[in-house]
Amino acid sequence: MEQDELMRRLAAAVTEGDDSAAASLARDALAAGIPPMTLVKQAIQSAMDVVGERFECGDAFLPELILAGDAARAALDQILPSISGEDRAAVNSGTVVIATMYGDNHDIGKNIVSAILSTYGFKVVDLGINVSPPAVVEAAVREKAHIIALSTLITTSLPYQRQVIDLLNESGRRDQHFVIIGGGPVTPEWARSISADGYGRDANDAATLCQQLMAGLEPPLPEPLILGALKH
Amino acid sequence: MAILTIQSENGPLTQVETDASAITVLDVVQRAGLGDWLDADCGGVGHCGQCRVRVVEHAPDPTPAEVALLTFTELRDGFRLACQIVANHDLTIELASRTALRHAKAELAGEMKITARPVVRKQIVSLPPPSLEDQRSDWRRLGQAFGLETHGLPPTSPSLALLRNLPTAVRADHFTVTGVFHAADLIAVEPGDTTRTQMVAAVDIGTTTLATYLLDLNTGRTIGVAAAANPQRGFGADVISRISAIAENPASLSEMQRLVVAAINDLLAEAAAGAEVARDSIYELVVAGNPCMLHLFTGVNPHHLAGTPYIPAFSEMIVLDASALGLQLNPAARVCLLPGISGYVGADIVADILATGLHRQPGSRLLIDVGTNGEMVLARDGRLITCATAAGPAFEGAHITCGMHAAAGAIEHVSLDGRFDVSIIGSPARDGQKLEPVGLCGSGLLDAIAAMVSAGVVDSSGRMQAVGLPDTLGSRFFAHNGATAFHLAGSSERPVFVSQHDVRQVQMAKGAIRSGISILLSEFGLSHTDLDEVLLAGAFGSYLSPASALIIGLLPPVPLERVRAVGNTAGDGARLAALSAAARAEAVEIAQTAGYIELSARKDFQSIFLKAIAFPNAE
Repeated sequence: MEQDELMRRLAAAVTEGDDSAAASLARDALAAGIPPMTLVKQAIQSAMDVVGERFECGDAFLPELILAGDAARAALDQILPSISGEDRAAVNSGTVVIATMYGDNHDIGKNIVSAILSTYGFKVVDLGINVSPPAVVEAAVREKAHIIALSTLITTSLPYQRQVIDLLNESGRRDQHFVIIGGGPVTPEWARSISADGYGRDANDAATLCQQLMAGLEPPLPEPLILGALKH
Repeated sequence: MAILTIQSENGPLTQVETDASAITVLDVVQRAGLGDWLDADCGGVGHCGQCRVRVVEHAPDPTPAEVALLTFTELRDGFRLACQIVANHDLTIELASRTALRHAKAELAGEMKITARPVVRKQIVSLPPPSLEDQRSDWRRLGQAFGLETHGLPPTSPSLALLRNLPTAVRADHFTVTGVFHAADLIAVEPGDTTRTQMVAAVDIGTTTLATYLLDLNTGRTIGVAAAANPQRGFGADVISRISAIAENPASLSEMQRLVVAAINDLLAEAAAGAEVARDSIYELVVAGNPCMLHLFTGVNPHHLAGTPYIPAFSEMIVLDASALGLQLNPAARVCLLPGISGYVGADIVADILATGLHRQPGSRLLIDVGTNGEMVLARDGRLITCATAAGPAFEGAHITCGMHAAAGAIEHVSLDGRFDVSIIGSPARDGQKLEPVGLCGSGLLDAIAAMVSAGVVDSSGRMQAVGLPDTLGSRFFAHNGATAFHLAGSSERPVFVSQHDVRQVQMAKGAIRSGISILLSEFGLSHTDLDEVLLAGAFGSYLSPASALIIGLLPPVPLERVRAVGNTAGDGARLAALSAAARAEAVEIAQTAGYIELSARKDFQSIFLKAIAFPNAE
């Protein structure tokens, strides 16, 4: 098979969410001599961009997004071991510590964000649900996280997002980590009021947000990046 | 003791034993699980004339309501209104048969016993007048007359108000007094014989609506109904936003408590005035409502309901002094909060179960109360299991591009009859002018999505696509803020439409409810084909089209005729508990024995939810 055809079919397998086809096409593409970095950037991540755009305008929905994420993951699992040296660093987009805040045990949204971020080359450390602010900060320090991503679906847990930022400020670590927030009741106004570095409405926004933050910016930002604030 | 025999023209249906006076035939029929044989839109107050039955022999004299609502011939032939007949003597009642299905259900109902002895009761006593030979205190004299002293021990202490009133009350009518009892407690003493006026009230405190009922214990009849919007709405449309309002400003708690009590006072004043009784003659208020509403009603901070592990301050049956809450009833009146099951399945759902008799019927039934939180109950041969889902407010028109409340101009129904026909809330067309639609309310949204699924405008993944559609449909597609939209009605300048994002909102809401249904069914090892009935409780359940709910997969694919709207069963259950001590004891048993599944703790919820997001394939 032509290299171009392999690339095209791998991308299609990801957008269609076919994980077994994605894995076997990834193996075929490596065997055909396509550079691993080319596969990651130009087949898999660009396919995720396509799915993300479809999700953005509503043409695709959560199940399609998750299936695409699974397919991308299956392909990456075949490709990543063969990447070494400098490329290995290049494929690592950064480390994200992610958690659902204290008092909240809703994890579907956070799980989807984790899955999508990992397909974009982020190392995601998922702390789970009902996580206290000190536990978030402790994990961020331990993992040398570039980004702390905080989710909550219930209003009464919103103040814990602020507490994470307060703890970072108190310990003088606010310049070590970006803090981004999301979840049902979270708004851009809330992100501004607690001086977060970013707000995203959905998993696709989160991926874009993290990529933008890692493109040469330094925490804390004077104004948060706001993505997907208006959908209607 | 009276025996009520209920039959249809095809033969006997059931026999019910009642052992007190305070219950109507309508209540008995409803409690026997035969409620769908009789409509009673007015709630059993003798206004609508729908609950018509035939009394086979010795029909009682017609009441004024019956004279007004039934023809002379009907009255002569023994037709009466079930809400007007008191079941205090042996009676044979014939119900008009409606469909074969209803016969089938009647067989399921079986026999039952209703004990309508109320919790509140009055007892008259003539005390021996005191003398120099009999210098017992007033309290002792009264206690002994009522048999309050048990095993030689003095009775439990009276209230201060009762004590202060006592010397006057016993002497005002020559030592003839009426005692007012709440269960075993003597709560008030009234001079003379006041047994002719004994009222109780019931309220269903909904997050959006309050419904109050005034009941006469002497007849068991509902003599007044009044409803209004919950005035706490200014603090947020849903439970969580009201809890957040308290977190932001603790004074909101007492303000919300004051508001709801004031509204209930107003409604009961209105109901009492309509029935020409004094509020002073109301001795108890029985309360149903979701856990958060009961917390706000009592002024107990519901904060810990909001976050995991979702702990209410109380979910047991609680009896309080009405005056302490600010209620303007009889000064000695009590308030009884019905028990709930968990932090999100409350007294309203227990009342739903009580009123529909889910807990006592053989077979498998599912009851769903669709709201911002969709609560549901699955009953299988008397066993009950419940859960609550965070369905979100999509079905109330929130987060929907053209969404609105069910007000004038709202599209309330959409039918797919070759084209998309809409019906709009509001006055009928005048002067040949068509009423222009303004937006979509919940039932209209549900219908619109169902019609779009049926027409192929939306595929099973939920994606809107025009490929392969006839021009009449294809021409309705347009782009709105970068997303696909489908023109439903209205002019092109002011269109009412459904956007792709709206479809996604509905998918999440219905997916949440459907996931809850799937998990309950699997918990009892049942399939949806095992369901004898699906009952839709609450206001939205009464307005939504069951056919549409089936098309979009909000409900599992059961035959349409097994889906039934049951109305405000939370209010009905509260009324039953107000009338009958036995029903109240049943409520406690329901609350104690019903199981509860915390969906957010289920590891499989995510995968079940993601599957439930899809629409069933249209045939």
